[in-house]
Amino acid sequence: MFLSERRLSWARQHFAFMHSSLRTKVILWFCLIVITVGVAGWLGFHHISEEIANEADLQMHDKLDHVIDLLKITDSTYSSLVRASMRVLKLEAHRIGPPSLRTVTGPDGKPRQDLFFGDEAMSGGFDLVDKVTSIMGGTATIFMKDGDRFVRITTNVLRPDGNRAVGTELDPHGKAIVRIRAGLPFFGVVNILGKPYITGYVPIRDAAKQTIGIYYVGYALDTLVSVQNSLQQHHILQSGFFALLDATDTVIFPPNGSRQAQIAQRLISGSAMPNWRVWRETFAPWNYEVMAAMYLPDIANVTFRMIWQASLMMGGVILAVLIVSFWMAGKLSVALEQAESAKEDAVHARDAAESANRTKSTFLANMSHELRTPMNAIIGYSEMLIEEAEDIGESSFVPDLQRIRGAGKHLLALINDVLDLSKIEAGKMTLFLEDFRLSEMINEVVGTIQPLLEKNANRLDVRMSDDLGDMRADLTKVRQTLFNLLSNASKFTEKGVITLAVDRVPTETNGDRIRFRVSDTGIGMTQEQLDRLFQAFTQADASTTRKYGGTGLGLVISRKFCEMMGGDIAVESRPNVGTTFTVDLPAEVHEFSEPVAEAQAAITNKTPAGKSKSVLVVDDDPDAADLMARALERSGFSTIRASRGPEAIDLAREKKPDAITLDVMMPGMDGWSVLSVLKNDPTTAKIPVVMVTMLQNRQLGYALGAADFLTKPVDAEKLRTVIAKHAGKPSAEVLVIEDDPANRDMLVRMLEKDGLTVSTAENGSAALEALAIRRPALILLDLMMPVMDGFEFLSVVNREPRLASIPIVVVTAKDLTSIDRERLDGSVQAIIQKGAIDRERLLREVCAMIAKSEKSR
Amino acid sequence: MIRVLLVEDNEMNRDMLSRRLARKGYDVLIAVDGQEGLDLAASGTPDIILMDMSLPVIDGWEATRRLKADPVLQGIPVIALTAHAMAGDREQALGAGCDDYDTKPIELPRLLEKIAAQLARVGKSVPAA
Repeated sequence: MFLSERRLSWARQHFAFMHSSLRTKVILWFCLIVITVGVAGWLGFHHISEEIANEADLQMHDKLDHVIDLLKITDSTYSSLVRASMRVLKLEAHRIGPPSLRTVTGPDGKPRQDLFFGDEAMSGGFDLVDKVTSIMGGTATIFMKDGDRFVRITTNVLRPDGNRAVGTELDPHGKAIVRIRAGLPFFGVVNILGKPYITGYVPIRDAAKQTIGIYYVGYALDTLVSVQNSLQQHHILQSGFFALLDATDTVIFPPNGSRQAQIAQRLISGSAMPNWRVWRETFAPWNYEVMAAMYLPDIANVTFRMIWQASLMMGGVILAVLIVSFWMAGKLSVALEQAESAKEDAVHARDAAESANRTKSTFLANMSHELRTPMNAIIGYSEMLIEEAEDIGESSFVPDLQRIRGAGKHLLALINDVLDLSKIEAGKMTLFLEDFRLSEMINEVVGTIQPLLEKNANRLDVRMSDDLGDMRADLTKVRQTLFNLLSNASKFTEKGVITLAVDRVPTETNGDRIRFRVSDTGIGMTQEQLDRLFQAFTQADASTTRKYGGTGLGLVISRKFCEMMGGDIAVESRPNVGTTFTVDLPAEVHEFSEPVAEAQAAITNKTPAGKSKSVLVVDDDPDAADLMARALERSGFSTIRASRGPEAIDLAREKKPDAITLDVMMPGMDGWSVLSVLKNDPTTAKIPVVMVTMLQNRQLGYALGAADFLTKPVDAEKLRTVIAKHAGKPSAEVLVIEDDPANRDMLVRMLEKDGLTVSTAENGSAALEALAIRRPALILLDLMMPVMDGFEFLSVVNREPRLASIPIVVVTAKDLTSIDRERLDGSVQAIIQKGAIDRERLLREVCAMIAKSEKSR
Repeated sequence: MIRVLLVEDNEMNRDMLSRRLARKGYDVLIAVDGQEGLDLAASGTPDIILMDMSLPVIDGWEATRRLKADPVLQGIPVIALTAHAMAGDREQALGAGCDDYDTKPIELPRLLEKIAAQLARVGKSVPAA
């Protein structure tokens, strides 16, 4: 059955499975549907009932009419048939002979009358009538007049008992006899012996035109199939029927004995039949009535059946819908539950993540402590034992103890670095900003680095400009960075000079920056090594770890620290010459300071029209120009190149690039001059320019190994000190390179006064020629010179191993920067170190500048 | 004899430092937790206090705060011994009123310098080793 156990349990399962609130809703919904259906059904029932009754009523008249029409057809058909049969009877009769009445003696001897056709007495046989009916069907009779009556002398009309109705007489009260007596034929429906017939009566006349008998043919109505059919043509719902009533309200049809006939009888008789409704209509030709009887409950039945069918269908649909709804609701609630549990999971996960985060912090904190404590014990106790061993004179233990201590310290350094790095990677490293005096911090660091310096017999030169002042930054991190760089410098240099130079550098828009430069004269690095430098766990070379110690993490951490503070570390190096690290930090560190990145993000490198932004790269060195151009192109800029000043100016005027990178050191027209021309020309003045130079502002010679510097006007005392420091012997030879004659003379006089031998050159190239002949103990170099300016001289000298070791004291104007600025109308955009070309940084600067100039347009 | 009150809960650190300080001529008092530290500061009349920051019972910060709040004891210099570069340790120490701080691992020479500096500040001199 439909509700098999399996299906029930499935339904139960799903039902139970449903979300409780959803289940309630479904139940309520279901009840609502049922109630609605119920009410609608009930209302509908009545309405439909009425409708059906009305319809039935309308239809009833139609049907009645139709039945009557059919009966009319029957009537006309059989009327024709009756006349045809009559003709046949007459013909057959006349064939026998002319009709006459004769007196004959009967078998009992008495005289009686008989009708003769010809010489054949009719009462003798049935040949005539049977013959006719065998041809035409129906019945036939020959009547003989007997006084006032007409008697059937030969017939095949049957009595109720089944015998021929010979001897019966024509109904004396009927319609037929009236017309026969008038000498007229009769055609119509009459009752013969209680049964209705469609009949025809025609008088038989003898030779004297006297009516001596009647011809009769007739068809019994109730045998007429067509009548039956007509009446049964239409159904009246279930129990209703049509009936045929004669003039006396006798039920002709349905046939006697049938239940319907009984009902019809009762209906006619007017007995209480409340469930029946009756329509009657006269059928004139026979003077009959057609009755339609409708069983009223049928209507209800029909209505009910209709509604039942409709309901069944609807119910089926609803059931299907409900099943689907249940199923869907089941799924929904599963989904809901899953969503809820997923939400819970998410909440748990979030809580777990947060607690894991906290755990990570706690872990780092605990690990810090846990790892360092035993290390401290190892280091501390071994130190103590060293002291005690020395005290009691057992110095044989000391080396071993020192090894223990050394290993412990190394391990501790590793631990510290690893923990630092973990913290950084976990995003847990934070900045603690405070204000501090730079000179104090530097002195502190210098103090801590002393032992390392002594170990390799290195000398530390500290140069702090007077205007350093205070810095706001994470003191610990700055110190750690400086210490890291200084200890690296010391590690990789033997008996050399390490220079720490600190300067405050103002920038146009980003406030002051502090630059720390750590240079050494140590083993240096190849380009390959430089590339690997800032990667964790690779020292420049795997073997360097073993030889030089260290953890390999220091630079990575230092760089991260600098980046966190909004700065960076750059490096330049030459193998066997030395290395310089430059730390650039804001003088005032703010958290989350990345204005350049924002600028970069804010602009795209395409103009609105979709064309790439173009940059004019001006550099006489084809390799440098190449590098620059390629770096820019990789970032989506298009580049134009110029290798000389005049060319650059022409191209700038013609092509109007979106930015220009300008090398400072160029033969012929140097970068500064080009810049000045560009800025004075209104057509090119607005193009942002990036100055690219080997050296920065006032840091001048240090990157290239200048040993010291002096500012103009040169102070004699300072000069003496510096010379003494670097030249060594008081009678050493000094080469003065200075283009201005007055300055040159002054320097020469000052030096000669101190007993030094002085030679001079008025520009860089002259100096190089002089150097080819004689090697001075020291060079005094003015930077800003024509032909070959000081920068270029320095770079040339540095490439020559023979000359590179000569100490160079650079002389520069103290306010070089402001002179430049005045000269250039404050339009210097930025200066970037060319040597350690940091592509990213260059691009950032270019983008920032373009963005800035776009904003100001 | 300069008396140093060493408040340190870790046994090994305590042992190391006290022995080394003793060898340098200091008279060393030992407390193993913050409360004991406060008690000994009051009863032991130390000339200088070396306070480990992470202590049981009462931690170093709280102990220092109480010391500095006490009119009798606030004159004793307190050098905080903090773990290396844990964010905020140094700031917290100074904020609690420590006169100086040193980071672990202890480097004896450095610590001795700081002790000397603090003693000088209050007009005392280091012992001859």
